[in-house]
Amino acid sequence: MHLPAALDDYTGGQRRQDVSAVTLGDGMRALNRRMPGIAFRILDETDSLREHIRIWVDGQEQADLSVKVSPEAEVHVMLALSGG
Amino acid sequence: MAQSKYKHRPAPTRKGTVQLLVGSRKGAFRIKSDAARKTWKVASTWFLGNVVHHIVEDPRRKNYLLCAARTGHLGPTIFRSEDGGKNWKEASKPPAFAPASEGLLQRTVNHTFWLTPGHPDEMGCWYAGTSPQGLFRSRDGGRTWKPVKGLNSHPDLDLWTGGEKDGTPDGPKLHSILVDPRDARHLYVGMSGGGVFESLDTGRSWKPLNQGCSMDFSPGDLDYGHDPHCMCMAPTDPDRLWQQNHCGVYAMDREEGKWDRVGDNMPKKIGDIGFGVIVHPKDADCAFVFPMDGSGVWPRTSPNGEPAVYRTTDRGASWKRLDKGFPKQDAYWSVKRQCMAHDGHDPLGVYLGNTGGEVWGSVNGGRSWRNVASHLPHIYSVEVSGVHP
Repeated sequence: MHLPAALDDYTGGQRRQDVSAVTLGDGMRALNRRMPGIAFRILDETDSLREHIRIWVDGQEQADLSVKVSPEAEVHVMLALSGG
Repeated sequence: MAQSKYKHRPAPTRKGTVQLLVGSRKGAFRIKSDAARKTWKVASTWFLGNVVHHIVEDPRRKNYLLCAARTGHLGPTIFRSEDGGKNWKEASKPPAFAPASEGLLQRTVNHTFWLTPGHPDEMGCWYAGTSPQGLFRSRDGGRTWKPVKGLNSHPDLDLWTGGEKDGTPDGPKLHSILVDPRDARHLYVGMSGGGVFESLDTGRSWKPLNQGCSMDFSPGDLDYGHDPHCMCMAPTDPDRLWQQNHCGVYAMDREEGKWDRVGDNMPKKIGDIGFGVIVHPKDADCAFVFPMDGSGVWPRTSPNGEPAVYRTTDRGASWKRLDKGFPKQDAYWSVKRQCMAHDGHDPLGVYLGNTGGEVWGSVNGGRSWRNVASHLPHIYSVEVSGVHP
């Protein structure tokens, strides 16, 4: 998973994080176990993406957390060109 | 009202240096004075780039701060500091709505707008009000937050709040969470929109408290759906409430249960529209408001570009314009609902933050004003460290 600089307080600047997951949602939960609180900055309480955040899985934009991801998947969490 | 073991006494007169806690669209700031309150400087900058709606020090525990923040992209959270802002930790469970009850809209927290320390009998208890309208409580000093189900899951909540069209420009919100100092179970909240609501059982049940309030944006005469902008409780008489509403300035003596539009006694050319209201810590009849232009398309700026505070000392029967020191013309700023505060000193220090990133202060009860800080971002809140009405 590739995370934006805005989340450096959680990642300590390690913007690439390797997690094991079957789905995108699993990946977010794994990330949150490692860095408590990070998921709620990206997703709301209904597990929907925050308004100005976008996620790509292997180059395909995804908003559905149930989408399956391969063991080698590259997930990019990006800040949209809005929201500042 | 049942009495708690806590004997209510208004806070003693404060003295010495004053610290202002300022929330803004781009971060939080601490502004410190000298002991005479003559010179001021920005002493701390926190969470630069974050939208900080409210930052409050716990009056029960020195140097314990809570800060409600989000960024333009990242979701809302609450930070706390136990050492006066040197170090901050994030809530492990920030305010978040539970799955909606059947028939109710599913809400998601956009931001935490308001923070209120709980009753002195309940150390560690805090309340938070969110946008959209939600009430949350922490029992552990802000580490974890739970919805107050009696309000957030009330079957009439959607009816009371009126849906998305009744929000303010920054989103509908719950604010002005007031805890009766004589009884921790007795709470008031304001909802924009929705109105003022009261609970006598720590939030398990709620009743509207809007009788007497105008509602000129609705053709009906309802018990709910009003737009209180800000409400406060007199420390010397917790049954005296003050309210700056979308439709005027009001006072209420709780045993009467009806809001009295005392803003009708303000000059007609100024009107009685505004956002904030504060009450004097030693005088329940003395309150301060900052009128804005609520005419036509609602510019929400100082009327005629001439900012002024108005003060009453007779429960709103008359009002005095206090503009000495403010710009005399072309000052088209406004003061949002969390942007007025006092310091509890004698003479009373009164402070306000404006939409132009300035903080103004008066150390003589409002008679004259000085600029305390400039060039900050758009200011969302001003609190005095250790003082919370």
